[in-house]
Amino acid sequence: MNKKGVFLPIFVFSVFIILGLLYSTIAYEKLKREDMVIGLKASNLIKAYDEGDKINFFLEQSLKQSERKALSELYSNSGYKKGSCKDLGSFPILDSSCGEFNPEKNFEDLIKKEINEYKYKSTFEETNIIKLGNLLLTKISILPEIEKGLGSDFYKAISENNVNKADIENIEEKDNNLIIQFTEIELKIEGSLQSAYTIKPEFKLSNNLLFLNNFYKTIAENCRISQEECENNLKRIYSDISIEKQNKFLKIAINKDRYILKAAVDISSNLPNPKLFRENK
Amino acid sequence: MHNLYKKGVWGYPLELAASLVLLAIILIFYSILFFGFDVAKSEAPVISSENYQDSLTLVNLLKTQVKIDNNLISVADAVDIFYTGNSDKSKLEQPITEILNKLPKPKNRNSHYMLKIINEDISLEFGESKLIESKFLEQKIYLPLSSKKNVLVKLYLSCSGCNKKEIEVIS
Repeated sequence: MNKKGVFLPIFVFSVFIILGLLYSTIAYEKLKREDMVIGLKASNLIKAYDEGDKINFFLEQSLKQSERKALSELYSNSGYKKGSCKDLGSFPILDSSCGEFNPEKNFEDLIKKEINEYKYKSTFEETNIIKLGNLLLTKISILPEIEKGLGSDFYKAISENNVNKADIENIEEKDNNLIIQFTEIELKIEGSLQSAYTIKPEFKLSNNLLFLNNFYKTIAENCRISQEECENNLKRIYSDISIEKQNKFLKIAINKDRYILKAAVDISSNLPNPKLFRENK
Repeated sequence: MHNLYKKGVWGYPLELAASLVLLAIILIFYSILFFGFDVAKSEAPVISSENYQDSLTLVNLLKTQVKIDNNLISVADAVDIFYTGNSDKSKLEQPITEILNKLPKPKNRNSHYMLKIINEDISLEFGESKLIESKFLEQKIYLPLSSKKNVLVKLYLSCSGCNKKEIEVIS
């Protein structure tokens, strides 16, 4: 037979082989597929991201409320924790017996204590595979063995536990704001225990500690000579201030937003040593 | 005979016919295999679109700033103030209802959003409540209060006669 005469039979044979290979590849890949419910993996990822958003919101709210409580205590106690200074009624006596003046450190201690008292509750619901259709009754076996015995609240419990374990890692001052960073929170992705979505929450709060630091400086600079001089200078500097004399003390109360800064100052006694700037960690 | 094998001539009557028939049989066979049995199509069921839903609408609603007693605060903070006993429901009612009315709804349907705040002591409900209607687009979150307790906040679309397709359009 002429060489040209065999072209067509070879072509037909090649078509048969190529289509056969294509079919077997598709059939093999289909058999190998792990995603037995189409879209389940994507849905599980979306659920993990959604849980992350809820955790961020929960921490943001808890942080705002903790900040208010911490600042309220610091303002009522001249920048100190409750009980650090001797008091004159509801006014803390601002003198060297209070210890080092370091509102930043006190704020960090207070806010950490406060936020740890909030307990996260998750609304995470695991996908009920049986519900998705009659065919799926047999597809339960797609769940890894380990997860079958863990109960329906397994991922919810992991999420709650990891959030409640998280803590404030760092508080940094930047452009008159406080940047609060939390430790990492790992969220397991449903249906795949070896996969996780990790978030590292970070929030910005306006730095209300600057007012406390400025108040300390103002007292240090304007209350050296006499009570009268101190009173006049403070009234000139602060618009919303009330000052009451009681023996050798001036009882000072300044309204600042939702807080009242309180201090009892004795001109003749030394102010506490300041530590106005945070130490570098 | 030699002329029959010349290039450009319809030649090889036997080989040509047999090859073409064989090609046709192969193509028909694979067409049935690929398209008839839909080899590429997965037999696995497809997950419902409801499973792709997130809670962004509810989170954004809680973050929305509203004016209460001349103060601009978030809905979440307003709820906290209510539970600390410094506010009453009537102050929350108007701003929250306004937000709920702005959320996208299916057209030509009697539908409205409901916001429920569930607490062991006092629960709050905003929006029109009708028992017969079906719930769609349900979203929920636990909201922390300054008392360190959590309240469960639920948002859903209450609609009579809505179907899944109409809901998919707005979700």
